[in-house]
Amino acid sequence: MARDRRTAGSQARLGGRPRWLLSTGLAAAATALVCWPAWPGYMSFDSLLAYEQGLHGVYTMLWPPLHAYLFALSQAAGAQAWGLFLVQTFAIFFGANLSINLFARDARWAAALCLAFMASFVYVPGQMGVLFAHWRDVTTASFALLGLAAWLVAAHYRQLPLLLPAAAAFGAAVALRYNALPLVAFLLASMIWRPLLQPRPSGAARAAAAAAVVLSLGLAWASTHWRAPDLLRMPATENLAITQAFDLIGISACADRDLLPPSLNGQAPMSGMQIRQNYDPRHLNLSLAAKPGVRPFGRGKPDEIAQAWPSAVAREPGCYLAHRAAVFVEQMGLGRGEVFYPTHGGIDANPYGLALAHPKAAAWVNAYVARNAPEPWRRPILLYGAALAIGLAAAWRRRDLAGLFLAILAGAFAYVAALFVAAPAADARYIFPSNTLCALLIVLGVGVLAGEPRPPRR
Amino acid sequence: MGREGITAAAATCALLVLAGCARPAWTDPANSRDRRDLPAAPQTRRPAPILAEPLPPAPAWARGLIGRPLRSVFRRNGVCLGQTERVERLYTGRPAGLAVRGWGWDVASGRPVARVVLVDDDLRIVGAGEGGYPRPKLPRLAPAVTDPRAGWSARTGTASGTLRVYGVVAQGAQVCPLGQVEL
Repeated sequence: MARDRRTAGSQARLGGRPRWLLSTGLAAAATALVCWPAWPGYMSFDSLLAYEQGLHGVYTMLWPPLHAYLFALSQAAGAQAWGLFLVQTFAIFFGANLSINLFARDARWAAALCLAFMASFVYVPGQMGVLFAHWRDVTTASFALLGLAAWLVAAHYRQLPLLLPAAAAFGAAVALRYNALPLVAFLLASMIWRPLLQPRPSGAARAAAAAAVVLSLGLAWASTHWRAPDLLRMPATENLAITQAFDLIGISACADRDLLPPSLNGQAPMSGMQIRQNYDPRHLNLSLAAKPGVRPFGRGKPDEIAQAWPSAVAREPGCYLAHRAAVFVEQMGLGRGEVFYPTHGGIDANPYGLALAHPKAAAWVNAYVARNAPEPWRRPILLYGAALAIGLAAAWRRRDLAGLFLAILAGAFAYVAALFVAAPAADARYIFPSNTLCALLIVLGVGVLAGEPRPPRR
Repeated sequence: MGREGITAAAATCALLVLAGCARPAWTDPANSRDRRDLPAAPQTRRPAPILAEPLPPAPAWARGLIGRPLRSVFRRNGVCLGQTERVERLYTGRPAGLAVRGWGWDVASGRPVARVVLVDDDLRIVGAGEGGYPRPKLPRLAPAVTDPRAGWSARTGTASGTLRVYGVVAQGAQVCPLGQVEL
């Protein structure tokens, strides 16, 4: 694979340069600001499970194992949990900064846009709160932004081989969450269609890009079926049953009658009131949790749940949509109440000696997130509205790069659209990757629409 | 930026309005028109039998493991299918203790889990047991389980806290989680 000579002259021009020092310096500053108060990174049950599997080996594919492998690398480097925390945080800002610099002709304008991207995490406190935690959602966003930046670098230098790291980064993003493919699917398709963002790429260039994408997605898929390093074929998991259980409870609550399988209603019918007393659209676990004076649900068996789900949806399709909409409202921070679970706030009890290094600073930032996340003008949904308007406008203004802007936009919206039907809960972190893509698109779009100051003539 | 700016502002305002979404009325139990309360099914499971006997000793292979941290003995994870079902019996003699039962299947070898260890909240080994107990319905419920002798029973002197169960696999080199029971 070599430089694509045939179309080099007519290539879409990004206009800027990578400005490696500027991109790295600003990313390092942002990383320091984020990582210091939350050092070595907040850890919930999911985080500690991945950490444990990093230490002792993967034993379940209920969560995609790449997070555990990344912890294993961090542990092998002597960096326990903080190594991954540093890298995933740095990667988000470095990836964004590179992309921004590649669009901006002027270094000062690029720096301003980079700072605006950083500021988005403060303005939408849920973004900052999620960034403090060892959640796969952050790592997904890290790799997605690295993939985008690597692709733009490949286009800038007109080097097809640089598509390999781009594809690898996108593949890693897909490997980290079972629902992550929509986030980068449009970007991958764009990368295949116009590998170096040139108007008329050669067939060989497209084939090379497609091969890189197929390889990376294949490895992502394989990572969730065979564990490393012994390549043991892992048993299938029952992730779908978790969402289906949530749906059955929500449908029953909406329909005001029991549509639950015996294992979920404790082998005896429940009343609509009892189901509503338990139902919480924010999280399946909140619905299942025992409540004083309220008859609880049963544990639920995956095979019974899978059998009951289609008939319940067929009988009450309106209630299915109503339940999904109720969850989605909480997910997008559209509810009148608080944004659900914008940060974890600390490190759960663990046998690894992991504890907050700066608890007072952590308490301060946690209070900032808790106080400001519920404000209506700081909800994550605003990122989508702004990204839609600005992204479309930027695509109109720069029609040579419209495919790129629309791919970012489509990925963000497709990601949350998939969550509409698939989410077993409404944690704020679930939309972190798409929020981050929206924030980047807003900044890139503003850069395109506002027009940057021309560099002075020499 | 005139037209684009107006569009962005309009979208922002619309979203701010939407940000006031209240929970739907159907989520409120007070709005239910169904019967108010229905009783839970009667418990058909009998309580664990109480035996006025001492807790039997741990299997010979496990006696040197009791009290040791799990990860000092078994550093790597295996992969199993399995479940911890319930407390099977209580021993009120001296020493007192209890027995727990469940089932376990070693994915790598394709065989029932032959040995289990019980671990307390501090991840110390506090008990052990062995497999080979019949579970005739298991292959029908879990198709990957091809040998119905996948049941296990394990004993411990621990009487409170959370008891975590691990199957010992890979010739004793690995452990795999098989669930837990709250005491």
